[in-house]
Amino acid sequence: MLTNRGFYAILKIANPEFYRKEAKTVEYEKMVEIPLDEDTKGRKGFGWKTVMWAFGAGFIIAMFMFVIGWNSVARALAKNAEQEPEPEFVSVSTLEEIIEVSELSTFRSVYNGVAEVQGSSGKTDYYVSYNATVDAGMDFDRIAITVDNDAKTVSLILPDVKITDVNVDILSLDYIFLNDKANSSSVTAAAYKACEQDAEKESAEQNQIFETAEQNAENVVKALVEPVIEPHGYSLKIVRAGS
Amino acid sequence: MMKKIISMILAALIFTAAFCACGKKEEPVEEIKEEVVMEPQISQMKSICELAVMDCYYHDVAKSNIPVKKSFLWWDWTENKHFWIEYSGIVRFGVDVSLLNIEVSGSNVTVTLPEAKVLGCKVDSSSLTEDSFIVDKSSAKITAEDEKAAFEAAQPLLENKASADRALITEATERARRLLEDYIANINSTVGSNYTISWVYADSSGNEGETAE
Repeated sequence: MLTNRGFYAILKIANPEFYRKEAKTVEYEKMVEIPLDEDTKGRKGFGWKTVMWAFGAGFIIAMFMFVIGWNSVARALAKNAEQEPEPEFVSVSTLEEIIEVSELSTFRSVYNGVAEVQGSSGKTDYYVSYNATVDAGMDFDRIAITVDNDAKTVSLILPDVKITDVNVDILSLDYIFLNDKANSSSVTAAAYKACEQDAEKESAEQNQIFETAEQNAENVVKALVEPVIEPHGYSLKIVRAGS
Repeated sequence: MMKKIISMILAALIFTAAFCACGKKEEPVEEIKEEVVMEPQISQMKSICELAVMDCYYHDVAKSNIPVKKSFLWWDWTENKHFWIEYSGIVRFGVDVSLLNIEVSGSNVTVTLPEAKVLGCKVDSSSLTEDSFIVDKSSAKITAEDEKAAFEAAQPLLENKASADRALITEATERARRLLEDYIANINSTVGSNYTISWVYADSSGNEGETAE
């Protein structure tokens, strides 16, 4: 229900000129409890000073909020970027598969040697020459692979080379007899056994067999791996187990 | 006072909305992915052939049976210098890359692969000692000159023997072929391509022979 007080309050805002004319007595002023304001003369609603002041303050507050908000967003984006892992271009499993399926892990050496056969007297009965092949190989399943994506390096640690087979050609046996009595029908069997033992012993002691096999294995692994990693900008480092 | 506060809040909201709405929209940054070229590279295949060389430890026995004519007054006869020499060296087998020819046409790769040959050999001089000689008891006397001649003959002897070793030459050729096949297979499995190799086999001098796929 609109009271006198409410009526004159509305009248003052809506039509200050009319209100000034009407509200001449203190009695009216007391009733509405809104003092006469000369600044409101001829105005309807807000004054220009108020408006300007409001816009200026509002602009400053908006700028402040904008700067704070932008920094927060920027920091959040940077944090996200740090947490996202870089995609890995070269994987250990791919390289393992490439190396393990290779059948080029065995290398052949030729060992044509001479075995010395002594008789019961301890003196040399005869020398027998033979042709043999010695296979030395590396277990490619045991190659250790590590990938450093930051340094863009692939490291391979090669295991030791081992002699896997010694094969003597029995048809190749030739003799120099120092004891003619040793030249009998049973000489071939004994000579062959002596040749096998000689080939196994001598080849196990020949460092060059192991070194050439290691070098060959290194070349094979390089030929398999480098074409796969080089397009991605990776380099290869090979370490031998012995070193 | 209330009017000022209300108007200030309204103005702040209007300006804030204006700043956010008027900002330039950032275009989404497209991830620049490195384009990895994975197709058969001729230079890469030649490098593989160079790595396909096979060093072979070669321990051998050189057998010598040199007839020596002897005479005393009117009596002539022939003696034999019969001895063996043990020695060792390293023989390098491989494909001559200068004779290798590679053509890539679409998804077909044609490789003209020469036969492997002895690319080099070296006798280990430390393997030639007095103990390396095994002399037949019925042999004529072996002199220092005989030993020196034997040492000098060791290198060409090793090279000739290795060049005649068909098993090792075939193995070296096969090794180069397998590595090239593995290279193509790895490209196919990495990028999902379907490259095939056609082989043209040539002799060690580069003369073409049979073709195979």
